[in-house]
Amino acid sequence: MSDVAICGSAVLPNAIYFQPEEDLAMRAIVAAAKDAGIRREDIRGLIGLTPRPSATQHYMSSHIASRLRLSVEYIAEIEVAPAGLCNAIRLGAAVIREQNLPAIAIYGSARESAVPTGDYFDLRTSRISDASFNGPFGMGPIAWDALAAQELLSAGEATERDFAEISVRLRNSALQNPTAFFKKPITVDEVLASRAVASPIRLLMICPRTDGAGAIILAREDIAQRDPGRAIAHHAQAIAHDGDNVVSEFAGRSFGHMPATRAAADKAWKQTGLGPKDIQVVEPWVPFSPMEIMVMRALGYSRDYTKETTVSPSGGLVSRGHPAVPTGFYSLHEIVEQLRGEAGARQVKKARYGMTASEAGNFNTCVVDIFARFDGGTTAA
Amino acid sequence: MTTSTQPSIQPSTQERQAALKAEIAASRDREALIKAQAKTHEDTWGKGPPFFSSASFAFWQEVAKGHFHIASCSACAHKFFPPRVICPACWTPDTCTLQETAGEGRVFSFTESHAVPTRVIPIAPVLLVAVDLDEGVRVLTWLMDTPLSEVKMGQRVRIAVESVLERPTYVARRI
Ligand SMILES: [Zn+2]
Repeated sequence: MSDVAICGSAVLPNAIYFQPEEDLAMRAIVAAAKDAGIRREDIRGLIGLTPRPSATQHYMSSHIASRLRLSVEYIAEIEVAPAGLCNAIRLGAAVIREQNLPAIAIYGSARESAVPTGDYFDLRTSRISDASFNGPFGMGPIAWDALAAQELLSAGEATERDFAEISVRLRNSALQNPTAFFKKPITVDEVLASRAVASPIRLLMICPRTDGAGAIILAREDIAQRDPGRAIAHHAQAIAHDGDNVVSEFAGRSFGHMPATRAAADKAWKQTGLGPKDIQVVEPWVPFSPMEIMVMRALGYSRDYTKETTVSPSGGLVSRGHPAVPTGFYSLHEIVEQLRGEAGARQVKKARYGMTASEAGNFNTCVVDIFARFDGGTTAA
Repeated sequence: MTTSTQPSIQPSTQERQAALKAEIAASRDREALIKAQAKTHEDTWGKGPPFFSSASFAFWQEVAKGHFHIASCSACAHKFFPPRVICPACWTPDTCTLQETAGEGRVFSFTESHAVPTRVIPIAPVLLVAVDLDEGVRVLTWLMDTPLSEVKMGQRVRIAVESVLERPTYVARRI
């Protein structure tokens, strides 16, 4: 897939915003175009992730095209769940090839802060796994991960301290990331003393619901060739859903075994001939600290995964923030900065390949994307 | 009854047209029945949750009367939970029937959760448990009257309908 590349990327800082979604999105699109050094006339397509129903502006992509005076030959919106950005990249690349377009902009934005926590549980998380049979009992992403984390504890595969240490590591990473939400360090003792939310998950193991926006510019080979050291190739993508609910249909099935993540990772390894240790930086979708252990295991890493690769140098969802619609842009942005060698204090040495694991088995879907430098090289030692 | 949805011989155009005509008529009859069920469901449960579906209509009517069931396919005898419109094993529509159960099984995993829907806040935290019934199906529910320190993985429990927050609810208790 090295003919099409990500030539520009931008995210707004994770924060609580008072601006509407469309304004956040337009700021991100223009910043990504600037990052790509591309002219407005060369952006011939626009793909948006459909905003939450709480957004006041609907038909967002058409609206944004009009407000940015963006004349395009392709326009679409994609539902964010599951893994809308991954689908948008694949779609965008196909459209660029098929229609020989110079570039396409892909964007997403969200104001999670506009949705009160009560509504969030009642109208969103309660309605995901099964709105009648599971949701009313309180089954949502936190409960799923809590049930899985309890399995890890009971099997002696992890301790509550291990979970807390993940939070601390992610927080330390976030302190180096100017777009992260949390700005202060935390200790293991503080994490273990924070309020229990869904045992064994505590408040400081949970992602904050933040607002934000992100955009990328996907461009044709000739555009990528203008600055091949900053263009990022979409090396491979593998998607899986194993046909079961997150509350399994079958007695005995683990909540934490993540069959879709395993299947997607296996497929990605087969497609590329790469293995877990060939990836220098991984940004998995991990909204709760214990989940990191399960996701990394399902991706093919050992229990000592931090010795094998760098995980979530952005701070991850838990520390950089989780603006639900554009969150994938933040993971991808970190990979882009790392592979360009522009990640500053967070920079991983000799980065050649980066990976995102989107949804990561959440409600049994996972998308594994592997990215590489367009010039085939690595960043400095 | 076959256990596969894949026809061994492709139907002819005439057969397709006849089947479509029959399905349109059947759909009309089915929707008339389902419309009446939806009305009954709303009379019993309000706007929900539980939300109406033709597959789980009978299940929730039984819960309202105090009885918990699992589901079974009348075509292939596959047992499953929750009830659904298409059998997950044989893909036959409208074969979901209620199956009596002792409701006994084991706690597969648990969490004491404060992250609950607004309606449930008065009884939070709840002890949310995944119960694996002896029939081989999994039910997500609450384990009642059990402190977190006393629940164990593999704990034997029984599921039955009780009144929780003034609404009939299937819940688990230790046995
Ligand atoms: Zn069947």
